[in-house]
Amino acid sequence: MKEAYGVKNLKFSYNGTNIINDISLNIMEGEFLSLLGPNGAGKTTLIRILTGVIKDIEGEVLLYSKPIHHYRRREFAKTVSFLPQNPEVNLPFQVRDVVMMGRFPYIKRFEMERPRDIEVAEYAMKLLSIDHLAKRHLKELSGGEVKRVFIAQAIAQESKILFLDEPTANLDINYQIEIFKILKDFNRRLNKTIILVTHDINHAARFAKRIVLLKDGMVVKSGEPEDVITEGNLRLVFNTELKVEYDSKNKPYILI
Amino acid sequence: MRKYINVLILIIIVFVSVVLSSSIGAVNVPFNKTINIFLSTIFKNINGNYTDVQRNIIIGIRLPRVFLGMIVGASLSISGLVFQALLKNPLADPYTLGISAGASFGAGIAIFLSYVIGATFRAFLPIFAFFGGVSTIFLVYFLARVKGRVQVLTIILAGVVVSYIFSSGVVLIMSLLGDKSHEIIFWLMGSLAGYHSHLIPLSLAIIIFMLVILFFYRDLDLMSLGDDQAKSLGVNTDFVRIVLFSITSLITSISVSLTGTIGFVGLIVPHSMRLIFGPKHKILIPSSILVGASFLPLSDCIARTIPSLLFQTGMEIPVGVITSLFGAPFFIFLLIRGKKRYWF
Repeated sequence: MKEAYGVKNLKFSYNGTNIINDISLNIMEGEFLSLLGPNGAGKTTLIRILTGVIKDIEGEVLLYSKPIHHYRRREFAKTVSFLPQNPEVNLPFQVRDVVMMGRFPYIKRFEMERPRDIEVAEYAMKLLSIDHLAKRHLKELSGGEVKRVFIAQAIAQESKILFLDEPTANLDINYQIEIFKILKDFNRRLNKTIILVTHDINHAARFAKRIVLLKDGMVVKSGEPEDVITEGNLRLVFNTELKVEYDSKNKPYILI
Repeated sequence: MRKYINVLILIIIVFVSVVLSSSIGAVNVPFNKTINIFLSTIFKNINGNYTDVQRNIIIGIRLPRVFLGMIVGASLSISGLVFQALLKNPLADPYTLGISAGASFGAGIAIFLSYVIGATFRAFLPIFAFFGGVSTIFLVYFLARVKGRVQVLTIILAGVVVSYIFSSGVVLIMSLLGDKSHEIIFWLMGSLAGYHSHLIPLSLAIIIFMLVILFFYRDLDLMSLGDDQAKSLGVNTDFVRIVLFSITSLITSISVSLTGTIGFVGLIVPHSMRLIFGPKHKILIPSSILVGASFLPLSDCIARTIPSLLFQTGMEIPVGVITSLFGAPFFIFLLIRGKKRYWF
């Protein structure tokens, strides 16, 4: 297994406040990793650093053994894609156009899109069963459909690593499960590395192969769900008493 | 297929506006004569059927003015479009960013110096205006730059503040000049009248700049989804911003230095195009250029002819009055009709 990310002694502060305090973390290719932690733990900031949105950091972030700031933007986008928490949806772009944007790193400035770009975009739409929506406008879609459009965009980007910030926030429960199933499927069949931020401990425990528990910009615990989701760890991180049970597959879940 | 038809329609609109605004004026030339004059001037083997006076009016007097209107109209439209897209702000245009005020201040200084020191300074007016505009936008840009990042909201605020400063500067110059200040007033209201010795090379520069902008249509689409999203899709947002910002600043500064400040074009044309064609810059860029190039000559044509029609005087209304007067209601109409598809 190849190492996708190597993070060493990462620090980041904004306006004099330390947001990331010395994080070291290795992420292997093909992992399904979930970042878990309370608000202000630095989850989103960590993702924004790993996706190259935030640049003025201390420490070392290697992507496939090469520092991320040595990547050119397009080259980076071919490796890593990122689905932000609230993507802009108020524009009357058609679904097709939005998915096609995923091909941006592959189309040179003075070129038109090639048949292959269109093929990949159509494949991505089929995969997420949004091909029947191709000509609809983004703002006419439901929350779950919008999320699927942007996941399709990330698929069209053909990156090895997919970051998602709260992919199921504000979605109905059926869509939440559906999105996680899609992600799990990509992870297993296409060997995509998936790294996501979530608030939902049960989702993380059920779908992720590894959970990284964050608090105050530090890694509290990292490992398989059954090792990380314990009453002791959750008390430490969330400052509240939670009851942990185990399902038939021995996966932990919490009772509220 | 539909987009080719759209572009074709736009080109026809440009052509019609050129013929209309060349034909109509103090002396009316029949439309077919105007077309005949154009064709026989371009193709030597077509026989002309017109008087020398008609030809002189069309080719010698009106066409340069129409051409100036086309170039400036296209410049203001594309600048508005790009500024709005880059700053994600519907109010961004050469006015709100202070370029117009800066250029006016530069022109004001030139006019002031021509009275105080010597008339030779009048010849440098376009250069003063140009540097006024360019330096303003860089001043605004660096004012809005906090810790190496340009804040989208701050830049509009900085633009408005700098605008006020330069506007008071212009008013100061006007009060110093007293009753000689009419020249500045004329400049502030904008006009396509007047002879410009460097019109052809300047227009060429503007056209080349516009072609450069055309190649950034994908970047602009992605940046409208937000900076984070654009970056992770591979757009070098800082590079795109600095390139397009510099180009549009140059374009507007050149055109303001030619005609004075003409309002509303940079807002109304791009927004109308968005309402009609949607958010894709592949069509927005060419359509804004073409419609801008039709809108301003037509407005100027109205500005030239209305007073003589209504009051039988040879006076001209400043073209900026017409662009606002006709532009604003049209804008409101589009806004109400297309509210659902309006994206800001």
